[in-house]
Amino acid sequence: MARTLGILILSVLLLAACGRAQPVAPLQIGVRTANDHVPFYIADREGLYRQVGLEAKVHLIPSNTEIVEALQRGDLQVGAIPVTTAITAIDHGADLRIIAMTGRGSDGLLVRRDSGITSWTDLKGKRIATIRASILDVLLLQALEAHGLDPSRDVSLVYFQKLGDMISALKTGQVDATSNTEPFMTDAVRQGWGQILGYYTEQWPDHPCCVVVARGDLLREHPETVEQVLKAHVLAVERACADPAYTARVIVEYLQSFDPELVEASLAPEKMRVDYHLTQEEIARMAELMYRQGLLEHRPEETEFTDLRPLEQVLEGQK
Amino acid sequence: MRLRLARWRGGVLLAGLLVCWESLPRLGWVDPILLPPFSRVAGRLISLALSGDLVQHAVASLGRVLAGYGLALAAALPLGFFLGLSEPAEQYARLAVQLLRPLSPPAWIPLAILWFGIGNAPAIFIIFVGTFLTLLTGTIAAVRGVDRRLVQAARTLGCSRRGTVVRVVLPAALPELLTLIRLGLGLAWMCVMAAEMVAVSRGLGFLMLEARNLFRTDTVLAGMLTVGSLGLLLDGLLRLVQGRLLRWQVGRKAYEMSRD
Repeated sequence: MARTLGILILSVLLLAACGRAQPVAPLQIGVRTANDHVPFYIADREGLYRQVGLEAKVHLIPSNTEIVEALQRGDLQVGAIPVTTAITAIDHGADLRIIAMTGRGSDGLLVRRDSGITSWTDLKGKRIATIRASILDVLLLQALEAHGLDPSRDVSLVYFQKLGDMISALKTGQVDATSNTEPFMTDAVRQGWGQILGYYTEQWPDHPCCVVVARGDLLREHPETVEQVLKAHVLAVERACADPAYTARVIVEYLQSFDPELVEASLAPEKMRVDYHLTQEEIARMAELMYRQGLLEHRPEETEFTDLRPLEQVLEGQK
Repeated sequence: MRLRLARWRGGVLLAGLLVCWESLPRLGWVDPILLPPFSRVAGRLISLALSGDLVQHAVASLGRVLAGYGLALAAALPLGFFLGLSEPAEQYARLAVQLLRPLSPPAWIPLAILWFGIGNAPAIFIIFVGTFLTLLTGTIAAVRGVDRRLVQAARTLGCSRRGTVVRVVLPAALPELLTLIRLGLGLAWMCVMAAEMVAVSRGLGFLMLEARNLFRTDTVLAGMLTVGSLGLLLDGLLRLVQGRLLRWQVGRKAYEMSRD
């Protein structure tokens, strides 16, 4: 009985410890291995956080969901995640705000070169691999509708959890197309078996892809720390845009796969770009799109997802 | 009387856990996004059940568990018996079994897609590989654990090799095998999550993964409660079978106690 009581008390204490405000120094930042997370890799390896007077540690985390969960628990204070993940988390009550962009574009539809699919209308009756409720899914549905296809009737959507599994399924003919991202798509083209049917920037030029989010308590209690993060982020984005060859080398260093030449090709302006600028309207547009697709429970307010003040302060200071 | 007391104690612990679960997020001690109150999870469970979604997901998972685990049982029990009875054969198989046993079910996902495509087949395969080797090594151990004196006595009394296996080894190993089958079934439910990561759009694992992507912790917990309840139900059925098949043990235990 005493042991049972002990376990119960310990469980209560452990649970109660979750989600409490954490000390700010060193600031914990969570990112994934992805092309458009490169500003964080650059800021980390070039010491840009120290340069702006901030002690920060960048963690590579395997999935977007895990980044949000770590932010919610307080293990991380800042993170980079797809815009759709950020909107869904905030919609479900996570105390987070989008504070900057980190990448635009980069997602599209990949088919096999020998599939005979040369236009979007050829997709009728085909199986398309996607990750449910992800940015790849949201933009795929939008693109299908834009080309006059009903996603629930004209195609068969096959849900996966990982980008690599979708590539394997496409390569081996288990599916006819996959909604995917860079550098996987350029890699498939270079290997000779893949063909990019189109990028989603055709439907929404320069669409937001990954964003920077911060915990609400950090924004309220330590806005100066958020500004320091963004100062380093702006410097890193500028560095990334100025030298694509260097940027590709850094991505390869962190992804530990692909070759720099391939990654540099996948960074071409018509495919994707890293960026820090952010507008409330584009986030609201994405949220509205997700609401129409049934991924949000209530119609979103334009201002509920973003906090642009720190970025505006940083950009004002630069002038 | 003793059974009643055990059930009462189990009920007290469960009720205590539910009270904690409900009150911690309500008192603000735990973030309700990380752990929604029990009442909200129960509400979500009821709405999923009323919409018919829960039944569809549960039936899909149950079918995969029964297929994958059924295949694993059909393969592992006879093979385990053979390897348990033949030491040279077991020595041949030992290295391969030890090499493959530590591989977790998600590690098989890329191969499952390549070999079985998409749909139910790779999911069933993942449940199969996730349970087969545990069942195999458990069966070998159960057969090896049979008292050699029983086997020798049967042989001395003129029982054939086949008769010894059927009439002595199988009944003697049966208690351990039935416990192994019950444990294996729990393992099969644990594999569902990994199995339903692969190109399926129905199933409790899929429901929970999708809910996690959408930060619907209430749905994740509702899915977990459903998996737990189904596991409990199937385990109860297996216990009934176990009780029937091992009725003879009651007499044996009484005899052993009278000797003590």
